[in-house]
Amino acid sequence: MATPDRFRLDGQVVLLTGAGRGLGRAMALSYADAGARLAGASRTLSQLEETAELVAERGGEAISIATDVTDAEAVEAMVAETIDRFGRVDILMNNAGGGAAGDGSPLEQLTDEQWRWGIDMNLTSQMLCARAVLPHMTERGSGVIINVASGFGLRGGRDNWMYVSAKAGVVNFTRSLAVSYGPAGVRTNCIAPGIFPHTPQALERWRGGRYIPIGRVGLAWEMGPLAVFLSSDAAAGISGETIAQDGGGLAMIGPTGWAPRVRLTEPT
Amino acid sequence: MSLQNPVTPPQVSEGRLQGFDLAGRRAIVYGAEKPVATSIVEALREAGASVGVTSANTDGTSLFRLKKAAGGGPNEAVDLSNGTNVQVATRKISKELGGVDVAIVAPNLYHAAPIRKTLDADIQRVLMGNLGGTYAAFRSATRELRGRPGRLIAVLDATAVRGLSNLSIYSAAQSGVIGLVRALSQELASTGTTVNAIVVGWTDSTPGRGPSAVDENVLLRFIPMRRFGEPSEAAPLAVYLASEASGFITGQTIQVDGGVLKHL
Repeated sequence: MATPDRFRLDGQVVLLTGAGRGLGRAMALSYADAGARLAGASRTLSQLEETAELVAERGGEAISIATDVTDAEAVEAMVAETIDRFGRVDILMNNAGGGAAGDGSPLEQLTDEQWRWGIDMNLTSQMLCARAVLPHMTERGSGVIINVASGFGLRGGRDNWMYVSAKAGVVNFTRSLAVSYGPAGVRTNCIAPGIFPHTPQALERWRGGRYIPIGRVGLAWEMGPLAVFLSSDAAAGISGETIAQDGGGLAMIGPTGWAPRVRLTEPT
Repeated sequence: MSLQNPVTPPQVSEGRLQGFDLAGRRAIVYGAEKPVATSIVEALREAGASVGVTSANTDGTSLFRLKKAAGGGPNEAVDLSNGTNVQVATRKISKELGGVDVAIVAPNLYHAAPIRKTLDADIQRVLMGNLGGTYAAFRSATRELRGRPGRLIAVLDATAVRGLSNLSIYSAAQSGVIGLVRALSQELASTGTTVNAIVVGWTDSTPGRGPSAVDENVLLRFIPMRRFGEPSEAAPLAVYLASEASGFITGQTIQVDGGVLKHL
């Protein structure tokens, strides 16, 4: 097969959580471009339906499943509905997650409930989805799982507790999935996005990406091709890997957003 | 910087997927005699790039394989440890291609010996052939970029991230490239140029891998995919990293290893 064709996903079925907005929606569109059929899940059905419309505009096919990914029964039902509708799941894209109330405050103010909710939302949810879909994948002898972590899964953040802990858990959960289910034909990888602001306020907070080494923030659509690549036969030899897409933030000595006050050498 | 963060990917044209189309891009692959790199050359061409190649070493086998990888395209015999040689070859290939957008370096000067038998000359040769050579190739390619956003990619093997006895100096040279990649990614970021490394695990062409049947080879039991990779498996990743769509990935080392490096 010629190399560009190895990236295609024609006829394959993607189960994508958090598909209603942001990076999830962007990935949904790229999956559609690659020829995949899409089952989008999230809590808010109206947002999913908007994504499905955008997918249809690009010539793709998508169904919407309202799901709370922190609820094991709901997750089982989501997987069952996808298989019922499309007959199979080839790719699980574990994208749902997000900031939790309590992150941003000193640890002594954190309540047990806030901690549990943050870990449930960002780590347990990915375990539930993987656990629900794995019997189907191992039975077929093939499958791809992709977990979305964060730069915060590889570095710490000030007054950031549940999010960093959960995302670091995602990175290592990915490795154990790869080691445990690799022999059964299931590849698992992880994407660690850097700064991809969704709102003008967030963009302003990051000064439009001025202090990210590459000089700009991530563009949501850039998540799509990476997700498609990792889902496709083109990545057949890649498993357990975490790929950071962060404009060079993690490669720098200082934290992302920090700029050296002294120029160490002549400009390039 | 606009206040919009576009969610919608650019429209695809003629069935070509955004991110995996290299039409109009010009690439140099250094060390094209290495099987992994030869596959990358083929993949880049299939994705639409025009590709020039150099060798990493000037022994007979390397030059024979170089001619095969060149496929009639621009090619130069290069000893990567010689910076002048690298510079002259880069200039010539760049002129033939009309410029350079992508440089891929696959250093492969292998050396296996216990430390007590490794001479000063070996240290010099192996460090220069792998680390120094990658540096020289990136330097020459950066000059050809002339401030335009480019893609620099080093292709390493698993000794860059893990150790193995008798490979101390080779492993030091390979892993040094990862430091080079991280720092250079910062230096060139302001031009939009990305610098990344691909680490390739055990493949069918790795020396000392042993038999390919799981029952006969204990090593295979620790590769989650239960098989050695094919040299061609890193090629699509190189295509992605060479493309427009990977502009926010820089300073990264990405492993194509069947999962073996994730095992405790």
